[in-house]
Amino acid sequence: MIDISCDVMVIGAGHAGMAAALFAAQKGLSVAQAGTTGGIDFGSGFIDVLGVHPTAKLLEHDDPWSAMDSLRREIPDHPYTRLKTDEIKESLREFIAFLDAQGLPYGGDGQSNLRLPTPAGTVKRTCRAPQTMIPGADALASKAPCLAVAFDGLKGFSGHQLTETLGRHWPALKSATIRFPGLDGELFPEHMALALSDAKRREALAEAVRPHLGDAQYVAFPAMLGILDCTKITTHLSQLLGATVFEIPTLPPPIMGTRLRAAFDRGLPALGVRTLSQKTVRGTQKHPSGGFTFTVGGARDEYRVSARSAILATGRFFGKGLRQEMHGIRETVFDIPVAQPSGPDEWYSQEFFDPKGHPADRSGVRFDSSFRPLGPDGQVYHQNLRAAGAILCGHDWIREKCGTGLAVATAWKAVQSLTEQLEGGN
Amino acid sequence: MDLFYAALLPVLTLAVLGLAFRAARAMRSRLDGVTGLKDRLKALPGIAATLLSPKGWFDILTLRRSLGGGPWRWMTAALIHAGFIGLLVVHAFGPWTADLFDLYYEATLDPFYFLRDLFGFMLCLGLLMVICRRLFMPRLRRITRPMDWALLIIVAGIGLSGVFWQAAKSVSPAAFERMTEEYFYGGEEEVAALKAVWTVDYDVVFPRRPDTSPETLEFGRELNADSCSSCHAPASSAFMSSAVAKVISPAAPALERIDAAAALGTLHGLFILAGILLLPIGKFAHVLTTPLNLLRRRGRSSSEAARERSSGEMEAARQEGLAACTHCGECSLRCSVAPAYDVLGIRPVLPSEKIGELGAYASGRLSGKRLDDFGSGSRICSQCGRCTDVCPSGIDLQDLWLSSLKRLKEEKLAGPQYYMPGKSPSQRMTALRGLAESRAERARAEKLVARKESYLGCVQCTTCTSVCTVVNASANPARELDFTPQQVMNLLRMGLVDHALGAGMTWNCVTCYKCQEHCPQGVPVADVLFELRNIANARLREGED
Amino acid sequence: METQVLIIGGGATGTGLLRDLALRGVPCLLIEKRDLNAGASGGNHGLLHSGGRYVSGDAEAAIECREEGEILKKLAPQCIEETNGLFVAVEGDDESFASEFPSHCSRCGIPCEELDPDEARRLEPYLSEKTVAAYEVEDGAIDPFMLALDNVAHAAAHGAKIMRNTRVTGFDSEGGSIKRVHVFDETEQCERTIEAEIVVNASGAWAGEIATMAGAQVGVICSKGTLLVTQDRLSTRVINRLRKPSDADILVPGGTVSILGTTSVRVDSPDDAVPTREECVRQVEDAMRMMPVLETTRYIRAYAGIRPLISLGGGDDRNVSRGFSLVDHSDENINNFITISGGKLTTYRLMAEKTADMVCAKIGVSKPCLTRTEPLPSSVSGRWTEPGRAPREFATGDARAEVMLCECELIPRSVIGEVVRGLGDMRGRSALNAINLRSRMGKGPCQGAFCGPRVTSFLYDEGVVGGMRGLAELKSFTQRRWKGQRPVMWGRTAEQTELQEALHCALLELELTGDQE
Repeated sequence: MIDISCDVMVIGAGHAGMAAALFAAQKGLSVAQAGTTGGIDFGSGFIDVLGVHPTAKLLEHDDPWSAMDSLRREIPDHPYTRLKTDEIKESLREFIAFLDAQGLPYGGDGQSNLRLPTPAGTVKRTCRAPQTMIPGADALASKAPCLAVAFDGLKGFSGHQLTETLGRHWPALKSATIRFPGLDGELFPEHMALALSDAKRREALAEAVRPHLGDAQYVAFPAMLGILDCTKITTHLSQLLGATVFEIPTLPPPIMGTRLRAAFDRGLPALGVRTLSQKTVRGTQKHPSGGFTFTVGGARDEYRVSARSAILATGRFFGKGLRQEMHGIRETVFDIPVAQPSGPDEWYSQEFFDPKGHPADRSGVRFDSSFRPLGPDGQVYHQNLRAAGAILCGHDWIREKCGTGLAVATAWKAVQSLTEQLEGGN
Repeated sequence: MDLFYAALLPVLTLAVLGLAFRAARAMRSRLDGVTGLKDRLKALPGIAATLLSPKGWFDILTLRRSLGGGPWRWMTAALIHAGFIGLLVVHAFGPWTADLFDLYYEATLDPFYFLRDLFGFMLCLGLLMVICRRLFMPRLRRITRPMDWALLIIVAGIGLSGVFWQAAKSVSPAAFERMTEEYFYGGEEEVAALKAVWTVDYDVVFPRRPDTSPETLEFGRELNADSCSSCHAPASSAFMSSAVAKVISPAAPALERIDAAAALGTLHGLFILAGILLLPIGKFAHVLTTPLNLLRRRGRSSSEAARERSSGEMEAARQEGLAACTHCGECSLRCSVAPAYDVLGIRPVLPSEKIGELGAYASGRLSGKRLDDFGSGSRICSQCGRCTDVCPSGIDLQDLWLSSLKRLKEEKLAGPQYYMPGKSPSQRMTALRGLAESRAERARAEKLVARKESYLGCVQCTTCTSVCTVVNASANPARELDFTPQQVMNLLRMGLVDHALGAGMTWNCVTCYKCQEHCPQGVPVADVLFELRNIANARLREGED
Repeated sequence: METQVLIIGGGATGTGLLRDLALRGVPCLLIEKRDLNAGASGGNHGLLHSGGRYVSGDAEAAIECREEGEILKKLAPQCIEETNGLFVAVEGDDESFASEFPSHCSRCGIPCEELDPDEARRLEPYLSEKTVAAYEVEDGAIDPFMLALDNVAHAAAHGAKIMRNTRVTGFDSEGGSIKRVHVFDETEQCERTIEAEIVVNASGAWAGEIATMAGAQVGVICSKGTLLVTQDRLSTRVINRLRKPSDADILVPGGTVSILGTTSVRVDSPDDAVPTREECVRQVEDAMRMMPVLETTRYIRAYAGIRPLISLGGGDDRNVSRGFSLVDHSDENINNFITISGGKLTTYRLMAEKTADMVCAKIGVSKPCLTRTEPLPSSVSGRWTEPGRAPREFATGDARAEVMLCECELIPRSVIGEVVRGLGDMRGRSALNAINLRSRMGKGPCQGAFCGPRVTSFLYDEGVVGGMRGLAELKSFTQRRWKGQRPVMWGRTAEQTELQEALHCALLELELTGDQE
């Protein structure tokens, strides 16, 4: 058993957990973090702030901020009601600055939503996107001549699908399906990305694409143009092809997940964050004087963490922050009561694509204006505990399209609040 | 003494014959299929280059390859080598050395007297370090053999018997009597004065201690300077034997009575004769084979040597390498799979043990359990090359392992890991189908493959496949690996264990654990693949019994 | 259109009857409203009864099961896995029922071997430690989809015809017999008329509706049975609860999974085959006393089938005879109309035989029934429905430059392609659903979360779908899978669903995509 002590224990390694660890470390707090993979690893890289409101009407918005004003009025328990617009923008600014420093620059002006193509051929609105994907918004908006390149063996990414769907309103969109130079059979974005770190491979790829170029001003690839060297690779390919190259996300496992993981795996330890990766909190002890002791482990208990404070960023069902049992939903770390629909039959709609979404997706822990979780009696569960991200009740990040934005902003506010409290000597 | 010289010639002859026999046997043994005399003779022209190799000589003289073991190891080797060679030069072949430098030789005369003790001291100090190393390092202690102690005892014996012999001679008054009778012309008073000097400056222990007053000593020293010192340096030159002489002086009368000096002299001679006689046997020959091997190696690294063109020369190099092992165990201290030896107790896992068995294997002298163990050891070897880097005798161990593996593979002794990856999945499944659950499987408490709980969490995200280093290294995973990691998990979930065992992925997994470290649902992908391979190996092994 | 015998309904009975008549040389045509096995034949336990379940309450049914089971094992082995079965009682179950079991079995001639509970647990490690009695019987597992496809293929080889997506809209009767049957062809989107000498109503739970359209009276009670599918196979044998028959009694191996069932809930309409969470939770909590692992294992989906029970009296629907009902409507003055309904999958062949006998008597054909002796050939169209078939062939095949489209069940692109080519012109029907019916695609733990989008891309690449059609089909495919996932939404299944919703909605935004082109 190894003993660790820290100012903040971040429980969770998804978007909210990583953001919380980042912000806390940047504020000079000592941070330990436990969590498993599966959070940022499935990230599309898009930073959704708010895309649809109200979900029941499937109403999409180009201006996330005014939509958010409406949302705050109409859904009083939503986490966004405890956040000011300036705070959200600041949190995103710091988050993006970190990613930029790691080699993942972001685009979008942050004022209005971008409209970007998806591999299904639908169009998604998001607030900020990786720079490698940004030209897709321009290409889509201007309906400029564009070549979409698909690879034989990369599943779920079909050039024909894109021309059949997007192409209805974008006649200048053409597609080509080619072999990826040097690889046969099934393809994975990560392997293609690693192969493209070799300039010769990029030249061979350009060579294979060139015959299909025509008058294309843009060339769309599935997202696999490198990992943290993606800017260099995209630029080089643009030069080779004489067209602006951009990426369209793929089906999982997505390359942006790999990029985010590389960025955080390198960047957080450099800030002094002590990462206990693929380990979960298996036992908690609250101390009356404030603070916690957590036992953390994989197959067995390995670490004992004494923390002055903690941030619960464990996600929803996939993140294992909440567990659905036959008769109820439980919070898995502290067993804080979960706000949930009255009975299991109410959890899910009969229609998978029900515009109203599924009530179970809005379950989570209740919280106050500082994002402290509330216990059974409605009182603050513990003075030094905060919660961030999908574990919070009252929002449906999947249908509202507010996942990463909400995760980052609530993490930021949670860290703000904790810092003030810890510096105030609690 | 005459007996010694009388026995020397026959002993030397025997030694030479023994070495010849050993060389002949080496010619007949093969590691890599090269047996023809013609091929071996092709190696001859290379010998000239070998014997004149400047890098080779550099390695011999500076013991460069001992540095791999660290500075203390080099120091030990340097002390022993310098000490022993020094003794040969200034003592065994002293007279010839003296001629070379146009000096007058007397064993008891400086610089020879001092140098003998200096080199003897170096030798003894080096030997002490070697003995401590063998006694206090656990893994070395476990593998040290009787022959290792034999060589140490003989060399130490030569050194210590020499020191004690000199000490015994020094303290003996009989020697004094003899010498003065023959070479000193003086009366009682002069003899007495001489005795005083010889008591103080030369460690002699007389039955009755002579008067050693300063005037007597002064007188005696003048006499000594005239008569004795042309052949005798004072005892302080032979600092080691002098120290020993002082220590044994209380027992001097007893030693005198049993004529200890003569006995020690005989002992000294016997140790030397034994050393020469045993020269052809095992590691005793390293005094010849190791320098030869270092020359053969010509200062090259293992991979450089691998680019050798003549297979005859390669085979010759291998045989010399086999003979050059001093069983020092440096390789085994650094072996990266040595923990397997600690757990399994199979000796040939360790390079120092494997090389011995390799010689026997090459001449077809291994069978039964020894052969099995040799196969196991060769199989477990990860070919990391550490042993080769550190061998002070410059043996190209990496080359030895690789050339023996070829034969082991042919004889199916290298283990399934070597022949299974090259087969097709249906061939692998045919080999495995119908084999009963192995004892190892039955004994295992934690079974991952059979337990469906292992796969319950899988959400089909294919992350494990995406991060897999083996899949990444493959240009066409389906063709080379048949199934990717998460596909193997699905096969097992469906109960298709045979197909999973036959999949190339199972046999090519390098257990890097990336899959398990990235799985968001806690599926123990790497552990399962590892268990699969162990299941297959265990069943095949038991199936052959 | 003309034929001699018109069969309405493409379930086990209808397809069995088609084959029986075809083998007797009778020209026949089968029309089916949707696709094969759309009713109870597609929503049952897949259990080939040894008969043990009926020995105490319905000896006749028990004996029928034994006899038919033996015939089917001999003649259609490709559709059957001879798993054997156990009847198992745990602490708290009725001891006298358990002890009387063997004598009931021997009365019906059903082989039954007593096992020591420890021996039973050695054979089936997941059985509860509280097992107090165990008996081994000759239950088996049968694949109703492969069965229907093989029956149809063999019938077609003898000249029979089949029309899917064709539903009855009305009958024209004259002088005490049906002259014409009006149907609507959904594929061609047109009305048709069929003239037949004999019309057989083999429409299962819809028999009442069809009969009414023809002017006859058939009282059908619709009894819904909900079953749960586990992610992996929990037992080698069929496991039956040794007690008076009730819900959640049986766990049947279905290739690579296990199926737990069933319930008996009276519903109003044969279209009401929606499994409910309450039924699923209730069954798990009951059956876990027999096999504790059922509490913690992962259920990938649930499904329901509607049993048509011909009403004979009151009481629990389970007590309505599972025996079948063969009605000659001459008594109602329609002398060329027959209804065959009720029964169970195990006895489908016997039902078909009896019906064919009646049909042949009416049309004066004296050929004997051949289905008692004639083997059922394995057909190509049924090939890929077999669990584990695709990975087994893939593993040992030589052409391994493949791309897996369905990872759960390891189905490569070439197999999906083969199935697609066999579909012909889909004309508006969902290719994804058709592929799912004819293979294992979408039947694994991910329930289409990943294979849905992948196969959709493949269909676009192959030109099988165009425009927004592919996305519309993906949504409908996902919705069909969802019907089965929703009732078992707990534990790992909830995790899978969140990932699926994140992919389909958060990234692909399919819920925002209109269903119109």
